[in-house]
Order: sequence, then structure tokens, then C-alpha cells
Amino acid sequence: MRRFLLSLLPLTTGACDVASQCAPATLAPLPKAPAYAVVASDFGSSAIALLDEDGALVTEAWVDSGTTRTGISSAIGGDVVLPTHMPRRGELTIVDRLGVDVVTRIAVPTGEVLGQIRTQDSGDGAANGFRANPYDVLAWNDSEWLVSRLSPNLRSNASELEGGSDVVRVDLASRTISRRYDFSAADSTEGGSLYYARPSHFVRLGDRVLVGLGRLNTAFESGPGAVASLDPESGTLDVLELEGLKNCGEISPIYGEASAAFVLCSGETFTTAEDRRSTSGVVRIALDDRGAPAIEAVWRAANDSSSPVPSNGLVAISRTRIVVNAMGDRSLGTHDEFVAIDVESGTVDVVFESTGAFVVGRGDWDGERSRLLVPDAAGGVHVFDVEGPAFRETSLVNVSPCRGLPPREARRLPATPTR
Amino acid sequence: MRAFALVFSVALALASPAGRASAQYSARAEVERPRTAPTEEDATATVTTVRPNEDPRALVTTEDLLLELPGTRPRQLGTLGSFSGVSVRGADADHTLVMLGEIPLGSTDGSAFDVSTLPLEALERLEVFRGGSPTWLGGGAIGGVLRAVPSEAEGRRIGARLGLGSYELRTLSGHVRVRTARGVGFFGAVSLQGMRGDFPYVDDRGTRFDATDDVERKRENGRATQLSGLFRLNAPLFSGEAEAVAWVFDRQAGLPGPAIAPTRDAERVEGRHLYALAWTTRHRAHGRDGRTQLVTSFTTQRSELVDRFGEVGLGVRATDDRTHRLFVRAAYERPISSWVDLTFVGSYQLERFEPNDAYARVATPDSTRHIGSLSAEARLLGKLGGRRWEIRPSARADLSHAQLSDLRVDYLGTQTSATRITPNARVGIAYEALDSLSLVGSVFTGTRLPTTLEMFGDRGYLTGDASLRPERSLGADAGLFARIRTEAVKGTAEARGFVTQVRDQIVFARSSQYTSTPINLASSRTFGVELGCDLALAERIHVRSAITWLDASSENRLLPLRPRLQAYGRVEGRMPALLGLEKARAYIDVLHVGSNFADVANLIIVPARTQFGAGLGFEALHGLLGVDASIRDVFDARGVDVLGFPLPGRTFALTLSVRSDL
Repeated sequence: MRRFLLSLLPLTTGACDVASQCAPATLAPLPKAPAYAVVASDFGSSAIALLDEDGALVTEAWVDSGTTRTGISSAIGGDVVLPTHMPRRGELTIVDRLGVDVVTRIAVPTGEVLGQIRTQDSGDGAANGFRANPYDVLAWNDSEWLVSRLSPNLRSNASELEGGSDVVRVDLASRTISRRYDFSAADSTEGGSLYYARPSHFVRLGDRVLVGLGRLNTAFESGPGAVASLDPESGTLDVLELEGLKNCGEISPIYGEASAAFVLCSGETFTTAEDRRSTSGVVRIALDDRGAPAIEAVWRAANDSSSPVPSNGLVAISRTRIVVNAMGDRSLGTHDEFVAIDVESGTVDVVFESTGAFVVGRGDWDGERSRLLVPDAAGGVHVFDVEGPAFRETSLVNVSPCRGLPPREARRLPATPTR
Repeated sequence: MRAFALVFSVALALASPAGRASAQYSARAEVERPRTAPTEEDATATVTTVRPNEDPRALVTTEDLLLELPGTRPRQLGTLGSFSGVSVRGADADHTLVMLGEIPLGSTDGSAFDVSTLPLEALERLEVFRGGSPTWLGGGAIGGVLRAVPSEAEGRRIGARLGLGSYELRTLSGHVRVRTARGVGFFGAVSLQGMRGDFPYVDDRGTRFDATDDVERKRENGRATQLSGLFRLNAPLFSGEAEAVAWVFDRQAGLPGPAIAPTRDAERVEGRHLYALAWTTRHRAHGRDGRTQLVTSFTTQRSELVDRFGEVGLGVRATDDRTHRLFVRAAYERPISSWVDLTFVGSYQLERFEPNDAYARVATPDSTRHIGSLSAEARLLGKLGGRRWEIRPSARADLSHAQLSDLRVDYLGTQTSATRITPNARVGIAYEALDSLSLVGSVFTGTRLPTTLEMFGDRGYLTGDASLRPERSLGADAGLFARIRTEAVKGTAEARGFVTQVRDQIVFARSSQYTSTPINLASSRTFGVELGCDLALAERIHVRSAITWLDASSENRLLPLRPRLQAYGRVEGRMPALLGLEKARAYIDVLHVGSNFADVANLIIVPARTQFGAGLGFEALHGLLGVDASIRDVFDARGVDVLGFPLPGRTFALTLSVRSDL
């Protein structure tokens, strides 16, 4: 009876269902490995576009939010990022952040889904009210990855593995959390407010992991800036306070450099660029002999009142030079400015000005090709060839011609072992 | 004393037109207007009515009833205690003006009205005006008007009802209605409801590529308890009728959150207390009735959200926001010649919004808004080829003056004032083409002012923009309305087409890593067809159906959460007596909600769902006892209205009613 009734329905309703106007993203095998991946997202749904080594579009959506049939969630969510560094060659790793809290591994170019890892609930996933908000992923060895989790678990009776505001070690085979690195030693108290460490992005420096710390309280107000060095084997954690700076979560590796990385401190949250200036800056951090982090060079926005104030999108293009976005303000009518900063000389050059505010995202530096990719939600992905101090824009790629999703992140897909 | 009485009468307010008034109005309409008018209020309006007490489904909800209305779609986030909005003709939920009688409900905080809070047990009927609405009711809403009309204080009856349902749904309600020989009437209805709300759903755990970890689990933190009471007192006063209304609603409920990130502790407390006074009088001129009405009401609303562990928001919250609203309205309708009636309505609202968050580091300031409205409508009557016609041109102007304290951190406490004039107009026309068939059409505009939330944010995560433009719409509809009165078939049927364009729609867009800000978007347009019928065949078979097909798009993409097709149909058999039972009845119904997009980019498709229901009921002991039983979603199809918020599948409901004359 049920089948009979249901079989009648297509006759009356078949013409009334909806279908996407764009070619479906099916994770179809690719003829060859692409060079770059781009997240295009309107924060409601997302697509992963792929570019070839010249920056030309291979597909606007290899996988998108509609790749699988919808359940209570979609294939990928709207708050999707890519790891600072793809953990494995031949793999695309996608981090679904707050509320989904899943890391997805996809083989490149076959399109095989190698696994999906929940970054919380070590048990059966029953409600515990905790959302880990994973921020970054890093391969520690062949079988284990590290995941940074921004959210603290505010329950005092949370299980050991679900403490939050931490880094966890994940076993790829079992897709479970095998160890948690507690970052509460990196918390800070100021003015009666507890600022959780909130590990954000990280890079591997030898046997250590340099971790950028958001240091935000429960209202997401920022506390004193800091970074930490974690030894995943011993669990040792060394914290370096970055005096006068705040919100130091973004980290960028330096191509060809195994012992130093750049950290972006974007300054006070929930305020204007000028109010952020006093606590915004870029720091080059190296590890000392013991593995503890130390400041090598620092550039402070406060020291150059005419410079744009960096906010996001840090990419190191050499040991002395970084590029970063200075976010515009919609209410003030200012636009994002993408700037290059020499942290040693203090030189600041505007590479380009976008046509919107909060539109330039985190790109990547391809050291092998001296190529810089910068996602700009107001235009497309800017592809620059960099020769010395000069940035030559070779193309502006519309990565979502059918879906119309703006690009937010771009990352190199290493065809060879990661740098 | 007389002066005091006069002042008192001027201050009286009404939640809906008095029953007698309706009857007089209806009687006049029989003579002068197209006889097939769908409502006594306006022969040119596109309106459909549904009556909770006539619905055969046990423990019927507002959402159930709205599905019976063409062009109307409820959107639910779960079961009892969860938010339910209503979309009319594809408009956003906050484009629907919800009224209790003639009193506008809703809040200044930006949220759409939660229709699940309406006191269904105390309502005589729900009316949904789609597109423009008659001036007497106000108007100017982009989507339409949902009007909840309280029950009349007629007769002398008392009743109680016990309801039991799936997932520990328990309801207990009672009502009493008394009218004395002197014309003093009282109606009161109280309802207490509770539910555990732990229905099963398949948790895909956010890993849609990996079905091996899918698990069926129970919805957590879905508990809800709510109390509602509505009381209505009528009395003759100065050749008119005075009325006092009190409505109290309180709800405490868990906030389950998206099902892939279920919560344990987050909860919501809501309260709405409304007190109204009214006075209505009738007068005759040129052989027709006119009326004068004075209304005032005071509403206080409480919205508390406690999320101590950051389970649903970006951070922790313990908000306790209060909204107070004073509403005053004067309406006057008078025939001025044999073919023209004029209606004038003036109203004033004072809204005060008092936000509070225990976790806020600085106190959040209050805001006030004044809204004055003036409306005028002409009703032109005549005959063409021996057939009646009616044309209703109307105009309305809203003057709003807001004195608001900014909630944005950068501008906290900054006093901003904004004054806006928003004009709206409507022309409706009806022509009685046959004795049982009218041609009806209208052209209308609508406006929605930016809310407090949109202008001034929510203390951090949502940043406001005080320069937002109001949303504006232009729409039109045309169709047929039939009122059938043959021996074999009685009832109504309607078929209409509609189109609406909305400009400057306000949506929130991400403006930084942790914040979103509202922006005026490009326009959207919606067109569609709606069909409906409510027919009784030989008084034994009752058929009710509502079918809506629409296409709502913006910039060549379909708007999310708008299925192209929604269809509801119910067939009910009624027997005066069967096997010793009185008024035996049984029904089957089917609901089909077409697939729709969950996202603006049109990538995520929410699958279509089809749900069947069935039920039976009877009375016994000469109407003293009533029993109704229903099963909804017989085949456990389940589904969602909003991605991430599963709806319960198969559910059972049983009600036992006791009614008696006093």
C-alpha cells in the first residue's frame, strides 16, 4: 500500500522538485593532479575549486555542500577551511569548523573519500553540548595527525579528551582521538576575565609544533598575545608572551625554513582598524635549542601610523617578507588592502586594494614557482608571480562561475612531500 | 460620572470585532456586496479561514492548521516549544504581520513571530490574508496578515480536554463561555502543555560521506512546558459594546540546537502578557452599517536565553530581553452615499526594548520606537450587467521615529534617532461573475522597517547598520473565488495567481571572522499559483485541500526554504450516528512538501517529503464526551523544514473532551 501511494507521487510532483543549475560536484576522478585548492563559500554552503599549476580553473566544484544527499547535515558545511599546510601529498583535507567539527580526507586525483574524522566526542557522540571548532590539521607521522581545537569545553566535568581549547592527536586508522594536549597552561587572566589559550593555526618546526594562540574569553574578546611550542611526544608546552600584541592565532610557514615561522597578531576583536592598531603586528618566531619559541623579528602596526592594520590572511613569502590583508570596514566604507610587509626594514607596500570589506582571505605561497595566490571574495583568486620586490598579477580567476560562491581560502596541493 | 464613563469608553480596546458586529456586517454584505466574498471584512481580499474547533485532528497545532491554507507554509524547528514561523506566498517569516484580533503582535528585536505561541484553544478561527489586507486590519505587510480571532462569549458552556501524545506530550485545557441576558459575556480558556520531545532521528554526525557511523538517537533537550490563558469580557456600553481581553503566555523549553551538535543545557524562557480594552459601536447610514472602534493594548514580552556553556551561540549568553508595547487605535467606517463607504484608521505604537545579558561586560542600553499610522480606504459598490462589483482603493502611511541606543561595541550607548515615512497602497477589486463565483484581484505594496537587531546588532556577533533601507514590495494577484450552495455540495473553492517583488531585502552577511552585518540585497521576485477548497459533499464527506506552487528567486537563484510545491489534502467522513456513537468521524490526510534548497547558492537540496495521516473521533452521552485519535506521518517519513532540525516522524495523539451547558 505504501509503495503504491508513494509511486503515484512522482506523477504529480516530479515537475515541481528543485535541481541545481550547475554541474554536480561528484568527486569524479581527475585526469591529473591539480596544483591548488580554493574554498569558495558564502558561509552557508561551500565548494572546493581546483586550479592547475598555471592557476587556470580545473573545476569550480570538485566537491561541494551538495555532493551527497542531504541528511541532517550537508556534505560539507558553510564554515570550511583548509589546513595551513596540506598534511599529506596526494590528499585534499577539508576542515569543517564550528558545529560540524569534522575533518574530511579525499584522495587526489581519484576522488576517493579516505575518511572523515570527528574532532570531538570520543564516545558514541551522544549530546555533550561541546563543539570543538577545529581550526587546523597537521600530519605528525604516517598514522597520526594533530588537530587544533579552538573552543574550550566550559563544563567542569568534561571528560579528559573533551576539554577543548587544545590540540588533539588523532589516529587515522580508527578515526579516534588518542591523546589530548592540554593548553590551559597557556590561558591568561586579565581584569578578572579568563582568556582561553584557543590554539588556532600551527606549523611543524622540527620535532616541535609552533601553535598560534587566539587567547579569547567566552565573549571572544582578546587577551594578551602569545604563541606556544608543543612537543607532541613529551607533551611539553612552552609559552611565549608577545607583549603588547593580541589575537595571535594565524601562523604561516616560511618556505625552505625549518626552524622559524611568522605569526600574525590581528589585535583587539570587535573594534575598528585604528583601535586594533596598538595591538596588531607580525612576529617572526624561531625555536631555541630547547625548542622554546623566541622572537626573531617583530613589526608593529603601532610603529607606522600610516600603514594599514593587518587583520588576516598571513602568508610568508620569504624569511623577511610577508603578505597580509588589512580588513576594511563596511560601516566606514573602506575596503580591504592587501599589503606586503618587510618585517626587518619596516617597509609596507600595498599590493592591491579590493572592492569590498572582509573579502580577502588566506592564500598560499608556492615557493617552487614563486607564485602567490590570494582569494578575494569581491573579485576572484589573484595569481601573482613574485620576482624580488615586484608582484606581477598574471591572472584573476573566477573560481565559481556557475555557483557564484566567493573564494575565501586558497592552498597549494603538494605533489611532492610537503616542505 | 458621564464624563468618566466617556473617557473610559474611549480608552477601551478590542482584540477582535464583537460577534454581534460581525453578524450585522455580514447581514449588510448579503445585500450590497458580491455574495461570494471570502470574508465579511473585505470582498476583494485574498483570505482563507480555518477553524481549530472544526479540525478533526487530535491535538491540532497552529502549524497543522496553516498547512490547510493555500499560499501559507509553516516552518518548524521541532516539536512543542520549538520556534515556528509562517511564510506567506514565499515571503520571509518576518514579512507576515501576526495579529490577535486587531492588535499587532511581534517584537522589535527582529525575530519573526513564533506562531506556535498562539493560544489555539481560545481561538475561533485563523485568517490568513495573502498579499494586501483590508485597511480595517492595518496592513502594509509584505507577505500578508495572519489574524487570530478569539472565540466569542456566546451561550453558556463549559468544557475541558485532556490530551496525550507521543514523546510524553500532555495537555490539559479548559474553557468557559457565559453570556447573560443583559448581554454581558465572558469567555476564558486555559491550557497547560508539556512535552519531553525526545523523538528519534538519524544522526549522520556531520560525516555524510561515511554512513557507517550514522546512528539513530533521540532528540535531546527538547523538553517544553507552557501555560496559556486568554480571557475575554464583553458588555454593552453607550450603544456599543465594550470588551476587555487578557492573554498570558509563558513557556520554558530546552533549546535543542542543530541535531549534529545537540545541546544538553541551553534553554529558553518566553513570556507574553497582553491586556486590551476596546469599544465598538454600529451606526447606519444610507441603508448600510458603519462602525467606530477604539482599541488600546499593552503588551509586555520577555525573551530569555540561557546558554552557559556556549552550546548554540558563538559564546556564552544569559540574555533576558524585555519588550513593552503600548498600542492605541481608532477606526471609523461610514457609508457616505449609496455607493461609497469610507474607512479611516489611525494607530500609534510605543515600543520599548530593554536588552540585558548577564555575561555582558557593560550594561546594554534601552531603545524606544514610536510608530504612527494613518490609513484611508474607499469602498466603491455598484453593478455591471446586473452583477455586483466592489473596488477598494486604500492608502497608508507609517511614520516611525526611533530613539535607539547602539548595541555595537564601538558605538555602545550612542543615541541615534531615525525618522522614516513609509507609504503603502492597495487597490482591490471583486466582480460577481456568477451567483456563486467572483473574480477577485488586487495590487498592493508592502514595507518592513529594519528591526532593532538589524540596525543595532546584538552586542557583538551581529553588528547592526543604522543606515539600512526598509524592505519594500510590490505585488499583485488575481483569481476566482466560488461559494457553492447546491444540495449536493456546499463550501468554497478558490484559485489564484500571484506575483510579488521585494526590493532591498535585508540579509546578514559575514563581516569579519566573528561578526555578521545586515545589508540591503538586490530584489527578489516570487510568482505562483494557489488552489484551495473546503467542500462538504452531501453533508457526509468533507474535503479540504490547499495546493501552492511558487517560484521565488533572486539573481537567478531560487530562494532557500521555499518548496515549489506544497500540497495538503484531507477527506473526512461524518456520520450523525454510528454503532451507537454520536457524530462519528474519520479522516485521512496527506501532506506533500516539495524539495527545496537549504542554501542561497542552491547546492543543498532538502528532499521532498510526503506524510500520510489518519484519525477518528466520536461523541457520546449526547455530546457530553468527545474522543479523538490521530496518527500523523503514518509511514514515518520524517523530514526537515530547516536543515539540521529534524521533525518528528510518526506520532500518536488522543484527546478526551468533556463539554456541558451551564
